[in-house]
Amino acid sequence: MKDGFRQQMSWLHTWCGLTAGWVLCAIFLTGTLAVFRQPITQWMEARPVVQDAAAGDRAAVLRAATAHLEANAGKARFWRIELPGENGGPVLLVWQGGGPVALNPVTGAPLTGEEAASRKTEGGRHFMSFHYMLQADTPGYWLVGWASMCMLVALVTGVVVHKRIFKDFFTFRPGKGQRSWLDAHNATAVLALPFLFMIVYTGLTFFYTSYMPWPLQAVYGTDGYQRYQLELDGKEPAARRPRGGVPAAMHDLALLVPQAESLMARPARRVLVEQPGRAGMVVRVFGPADDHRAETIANTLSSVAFDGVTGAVIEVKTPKLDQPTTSADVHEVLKALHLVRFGGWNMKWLYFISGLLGTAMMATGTILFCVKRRKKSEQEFGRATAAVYRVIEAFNVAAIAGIAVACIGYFYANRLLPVEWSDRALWEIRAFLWLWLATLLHALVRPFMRAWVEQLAAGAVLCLLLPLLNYLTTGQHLFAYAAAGDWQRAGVELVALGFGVMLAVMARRARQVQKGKP
Amino acid sequence: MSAKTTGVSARYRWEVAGRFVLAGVGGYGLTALLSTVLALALPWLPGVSRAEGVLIASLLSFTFYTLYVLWVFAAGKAWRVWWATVLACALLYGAQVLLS
Repeated sequence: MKDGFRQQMSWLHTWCGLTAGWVLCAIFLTGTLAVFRQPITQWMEARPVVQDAAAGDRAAVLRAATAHLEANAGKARFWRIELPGENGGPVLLVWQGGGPVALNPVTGAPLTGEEAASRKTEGGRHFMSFHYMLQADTPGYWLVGWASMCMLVALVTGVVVHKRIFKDFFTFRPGKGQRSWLDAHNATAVLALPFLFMIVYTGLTFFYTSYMPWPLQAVYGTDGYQRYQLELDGKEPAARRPRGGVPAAMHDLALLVPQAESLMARPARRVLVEQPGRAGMVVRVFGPADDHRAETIANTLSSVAFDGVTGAVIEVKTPKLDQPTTSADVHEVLKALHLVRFGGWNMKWLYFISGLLGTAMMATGTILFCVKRRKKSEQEFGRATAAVYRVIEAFNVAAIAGIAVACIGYFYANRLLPVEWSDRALWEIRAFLWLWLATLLHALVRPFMRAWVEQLAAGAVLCLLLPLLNYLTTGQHLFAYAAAGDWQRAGVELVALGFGVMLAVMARRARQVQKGKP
Repeated sequence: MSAKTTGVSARYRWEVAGRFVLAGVGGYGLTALLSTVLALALPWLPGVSRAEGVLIASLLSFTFYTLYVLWVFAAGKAWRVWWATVLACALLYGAQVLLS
């Protein structure tokens, strides 16, 4: 081993960063996209733009929803009514074993045919589940855990080997080859350092009872999770309302929902009816999932619970500073920090940009590894060194340009796969995974600089043509979304265009390098 | 690690592989034992409940793991890391049996 603490840490940083860096790039890019999973899901579901809900008579819509559920789901254990959010859309009815049924938010009539058309898709949720499980169940989940630990190690060693953190804020010397890559790696890392530590630590502790279950099991036994949670919370479990019971009529939702809204001081977004049609019925009305006005970071979901028969208020929850906190809130805060459940759209954008900086930090790091060795081989692998370098170059291409192609390809699969396929949601995800594998094979067979240019260019073209594809396949387009005030779906296309321009610039730069210009 | 010499010895390769396994598997085992003992011991302190002991120890475990990995690769002699890890695991296991 090399002598000196700093040299050893530098060695660890290099190899830990390289081996985990590939999968971390994919985890980071998909996690960054998952910040906007709801807008992405809405874009992918491609529902027709419906009139603004505010114009309709909501009392009539709620009564129509109740009538529809009573007629079609009288025996279900629960009903759920999703009310339109900020950007309109239909009212959705879901019940145990059934739904969703879409209602016109203005008239309450069930939408049929063209109007109800919504593509079956995992939407933005795919990016979220790939982000923490790589679509590979338990092995994927542990692989993400391993990569996260490597990132924590790489971050700490990165800080240790560093001599002048402050200066790196202001240092970028472009067009100088290896030196520029190092500058870019340092600048992105230093700029996003607090975010990177926070996001990787909260990511690991998000699942602390799965990644590190041993303390919990030693104290509470193998099935002690619920007892542990109750003790943390310091509360007795809520008494269960008796199941079943005598048939009873539900209190008028058109009265309960406005009452809940005035108690929460927030618009209602979801109504949950437990044990509908029975004497023990409970109606829960929930506020918006992203509460921009919450005074606290944890437990931001407001709700009001009513006795479903008499309409008496059982419980009111609002995110207020004066609510007593318990140790159980610690994990809630860690989760809220990781999921950006606070601060509204501005904070989401900040996370999005920080996530991109993090991705750029890893990408420049793995590229730096190769750029350094292109000049002068370090012979780490004996006679196989050249071949191993070649494979590392290919993995770099697939991990950075390839994952971008796979992500945008996922949007194409959504628009191009036949709408009537029953398991099209599964095939969209398969398309994503196969496309990613294809980019790796492509990078292995092509000269690597060409692979860089071709994959970056492919990503750029796909991103820039996304609005056109949408118009050709669904007839919807950017201007229609914007005109209807649907900025979430318009935003998806605008961000895709932004990515397209960025990838095009990168492709152009890679082509200059390929042609021998510095 | 050895950038100057061309080619590295087989012994060196085994040593690096050994440290890698130790950091991954040994580190996880040691961390699990350490945080378990901590979770069992913390409620002895005034004001820390049983549940809070588990919470604190579990949340700190990721820090322990990171520090251990750094130590495995920073230590000069590989065999010393192995021995220290085995010894620490044995002691912590004993403590866990005593405390629970």
